[in-house]
Formats: sequence, structure tokens, C-alpha cells
Amino acid sequence: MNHDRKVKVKVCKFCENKDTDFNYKNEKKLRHYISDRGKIIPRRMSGTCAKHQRKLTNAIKRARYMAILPFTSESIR
Amino acid sequence: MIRRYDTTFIIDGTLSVDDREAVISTFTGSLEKHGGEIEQVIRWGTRTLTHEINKRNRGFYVILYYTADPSIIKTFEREMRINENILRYMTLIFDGTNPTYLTDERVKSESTYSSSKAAANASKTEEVTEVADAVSDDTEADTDIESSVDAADEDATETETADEPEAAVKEAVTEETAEETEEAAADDDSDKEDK
Repeated sequence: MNHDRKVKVKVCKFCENKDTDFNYKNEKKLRHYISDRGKIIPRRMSGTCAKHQRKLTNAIKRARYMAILPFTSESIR
Repeated sequence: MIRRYDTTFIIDGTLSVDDREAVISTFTGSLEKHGGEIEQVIRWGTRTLTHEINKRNRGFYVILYYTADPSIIKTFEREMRINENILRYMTLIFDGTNPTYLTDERVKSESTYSSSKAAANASKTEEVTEVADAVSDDTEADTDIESSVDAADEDATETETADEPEAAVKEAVTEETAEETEEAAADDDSDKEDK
């Protein structure tokens, strides 16, 4: 199988902007990295590097515990 | 060894302002009693919880920045666990600068907060003076009249402003929800692009 698909090279946004603040209270920022169902968006989709994805995941999980971010979609309860 | 900590806790959203302030002061007080040094107390404000905690849908978020010995954290967290008005708490070692996106509720609506607190104080003083009037003898009558007049003046000024904070808070809440829905819409778009 040889598909000619253009692969868009994604660069980690956090590396690009030298953004190292992964605070779980920054809801606005973390909202970009969860799907509308509340799932954490995987690295292959967001392009985040491993190091920053790890920190991001920690922050999102903390935010979930503190009821800042949803575990699942907020409309489905 | 002294470390910097960041403790965030959620107070039951159904509590009144006075009760909430009492809860905050008990914990700041106990921190200082154990030898912690409080740098900053941020009253983040009332937020809608994304999921129910102890059958509550709203909570008041308070963030404490302080320096303390690691040994006191255990006792401090135990106190929070025992207190029924605390829905959740989280203590993290804090390095870096204080985030700028966290604003104190009082900074957000300085006037509304101070006026509501003043109104609360005024109602208390009113009660006190009423009791004093009932107890007072004829000799003390002059002073009591003066104090009651003062209280009446205060009431007149405070009652005018007393209605405002609630309206302001409601406005703020609707704004927040509007922002959230916008963000949600933006998220949807980005999801589609990714797929």
C-alpha cells in the first residue's frame, strides 16, 4: 500500500513558544487540549512533544479532580 | 527546611458570604498558628463545578500561596478533610511566579464586594444598638439616641448599595457562561480540523 498523502509536520506549541507554565488552574489553556467529550487529545493529533504532553496530562487530571475540567462531556450526565 | 506551597480548596457554594469568610479565616489562621507564612490569598470566586461533589453543583475557589515547613502540611490537610464545608483541596509545591490569569474576586468587583461587606457590618451594629436601647437606663438615653442616629444614617447609605452586588454577580456569571460556550464552540472547530 502506497498512499501519496501529504503529511503536515506539526511542531509542539509549548516548545515553539517556550511556554512552560502547566498550571491546572489555567482552564482556558487546557480546554484546547481536551475534546468536546472531555477526553485528552492525543499527541498524534495535537503535535505536542512527549515531555510537554506528560505535563499537560498531569495538569488536565488535576483540573478534573478540582472540578475545573470535566471527566466527560458536561452535557451528558 | 522551608518550602513554598500552593493550596487550592473549594468551599461549599451554598454557604453565605459571612460563613465562607469564617471558613477562610479559620484555615489561614491555622496555617499561621503552625508557623506558615501566607504570601497571598486569592478568592477566585464562585464557579460551576464540572461534576457534582457531595451533591453540590457550585463551589467557591480559594487559592493560598504560602511558605511553610513540610511537616505542617499533613496536619493542615487533615483539618481540611474534617471540615464539611470543604469540598476539595489540593496542595502542590509551588515554584515559579504567581499566575496572572487568576484574579481575586474582590479585584474583579472591588466596589460590590466592599459594599456588601459594609452592609453586613451595618446590620450587625444595628442589632447591637437595638439591644442597647432596650437595656439602657434613663441616664444613658442621650448617648443611645446618638448611636442609633448614626446607625440609621449608615443604614440609609448602605441599603442603597446593598442591592447592587447581587445584580453585578449575576451579570458576571452570565458573562462567564457566555465565554465558556464560545470556547466550547471553538474547541469543536479545532477538533474537526484535526480529523
